[in-house]
Amino acid sequence: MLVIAAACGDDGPATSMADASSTVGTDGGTSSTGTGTSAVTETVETTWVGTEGAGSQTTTTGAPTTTGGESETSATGTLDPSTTGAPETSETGVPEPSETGSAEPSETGWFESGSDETDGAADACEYAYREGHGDLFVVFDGSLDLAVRAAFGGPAETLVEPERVCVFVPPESYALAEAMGGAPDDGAFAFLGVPAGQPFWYLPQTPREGLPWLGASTEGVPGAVYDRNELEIAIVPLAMPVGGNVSAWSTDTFGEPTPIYSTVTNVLTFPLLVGAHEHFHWAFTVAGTYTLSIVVRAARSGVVESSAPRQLRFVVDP
Amino acid sequence: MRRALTLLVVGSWSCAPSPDDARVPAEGSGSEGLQGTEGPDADSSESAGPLPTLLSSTPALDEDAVYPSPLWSGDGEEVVIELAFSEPMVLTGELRLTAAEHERPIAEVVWSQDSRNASLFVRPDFSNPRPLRDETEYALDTSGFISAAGLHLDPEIGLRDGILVFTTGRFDGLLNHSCGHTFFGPFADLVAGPQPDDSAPDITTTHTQYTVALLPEESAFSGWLRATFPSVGPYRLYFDTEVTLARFDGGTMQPMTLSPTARVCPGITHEVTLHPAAGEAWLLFVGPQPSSPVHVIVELTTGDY
Repeated sequence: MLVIAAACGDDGPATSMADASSTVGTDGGTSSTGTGTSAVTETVETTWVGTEGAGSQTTTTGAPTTTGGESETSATGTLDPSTTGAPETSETGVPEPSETGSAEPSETGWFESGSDETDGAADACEYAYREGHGDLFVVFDGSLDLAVRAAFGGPAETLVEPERVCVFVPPESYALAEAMGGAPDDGAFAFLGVPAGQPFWYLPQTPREGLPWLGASTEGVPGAVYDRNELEIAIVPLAMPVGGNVSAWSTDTFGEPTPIYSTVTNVLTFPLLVGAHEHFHWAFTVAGTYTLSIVVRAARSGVVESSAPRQLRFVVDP
Repeated sequence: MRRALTLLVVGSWSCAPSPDDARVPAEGSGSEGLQGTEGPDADSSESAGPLPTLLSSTPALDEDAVYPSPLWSGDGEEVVIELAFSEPMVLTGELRLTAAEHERPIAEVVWSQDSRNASLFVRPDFSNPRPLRDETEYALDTSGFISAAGLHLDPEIGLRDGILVFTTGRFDGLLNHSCGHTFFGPFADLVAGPQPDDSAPDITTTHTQYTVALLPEESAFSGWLRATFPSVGPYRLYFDTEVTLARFDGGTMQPMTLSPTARVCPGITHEVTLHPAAGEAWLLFVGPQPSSPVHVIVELTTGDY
């Protein structure tokens, strides 16, 4: 059974890593107990409201489909990421970062389950990711989960539950995009949702002093476990500033962008092979706090396994 | 795939200028270089002496495999074209760096105090996420540079028809990625082990720059490292210097050959690719080296960086 605390709930149950994997039903779907579809829908609609909290939620491993939509899992490994429109948005307060790494990671770098450390963690930004290398890291311990792997200002990288992390996107990222001429006058960049020439908050695919360098890694997943060694990451925006959009993309050598994720065009999933490590460009169109729900899933012998939804916040122009 | 070059010639002369053609009045506006001077004296141009020359350039004329996206600092990837002149020069008008199907702007020109050296910076933008494209021939038109006497560079010394031509090589995403770690970490300090056993420190963690202190051995330094590879990889080891490296297979030492990397960043100069079996542990001997420490990064080669 999976029980996951809502990201901003002060009183919600701690996320249990031991329980954080989905169970696979014989029908080929991802089975779960709990409130199922409706719970997922509630989670998707939950907006982060700073320190007031949104109350704890329970949900299942059924990957969220859309705002207000139904939760679906499939045996093909493909989640329908279609949405009915823009996700719920809200003006969100900017969380106060705590001292970097105020909680101690375990020896393995991965938190033991269910400690009180996670209570209210999302409000405090226990782990402030401000610069340097970092990944959405796919954890595999027999089932799938997600962590943020970064050094958080310390000497070594560690794995931290996404709910405890805030990715800070500083004003310098806006100045960088401005210096680069703003959004290109090119329809291929329509997924940004930014008019040509207008800057935005930009995290480049390559490292820059003072900016997070955020990618994704499946290096922790062994080969020959999942069909074709394929994984898929699905991201649903739970809360964004009014008018805000977020996107991620890669580019080929000729500058042609490949959208990996966009709330503008509803590109909400992207594939990764086992053993991959990729970095992307990220764009945020409005200052504020973006809370994303992230799921990783893959098919094993035709049966889809999905991680628990994990929530990660980007604090833009804090 | 190499792309055909279209030479874009601007200025007052065409493809084969004579020295006289190269003498043009200076333009007052937009001049750079010749710091502390009033700029070239147009009246003296006809009576000036020999043409100024390009003493050297990086890249050099017709240089091949110029890396298209180096990472010289933590401020992002940029290509720097270095020009050294025989006398102080000034830049009038725009510099143009062209290829067959596109043009890259020179984002910044930085002059030496004596105006004899210019560093030209090419930086990415959203449509060109790397400063230069792979395997592409570029042409830098130097006609915008003139001397205090109003003379253009000799068009055939270090140039061809006044153009600096070079060709880029291929971008190596993993190498660039690892260069990022040399600037931004994470970092770990180790002391190499004295013998080939479990006392040798582990360097298995990817995306980490290890600073390895080697053990003094007469006039050199050496030591043992250990790596346990969770998957078949292949894995790549990046070093900041050329090291003598061997694998101990339990019975014999198997020398490993390092290759120089492309010139991408200051912190990586050599690499070697390893092909372990999944779960295999390797004992590596580093040395003898003339100095200590050495820096090493281990990366899994799969991925899109």
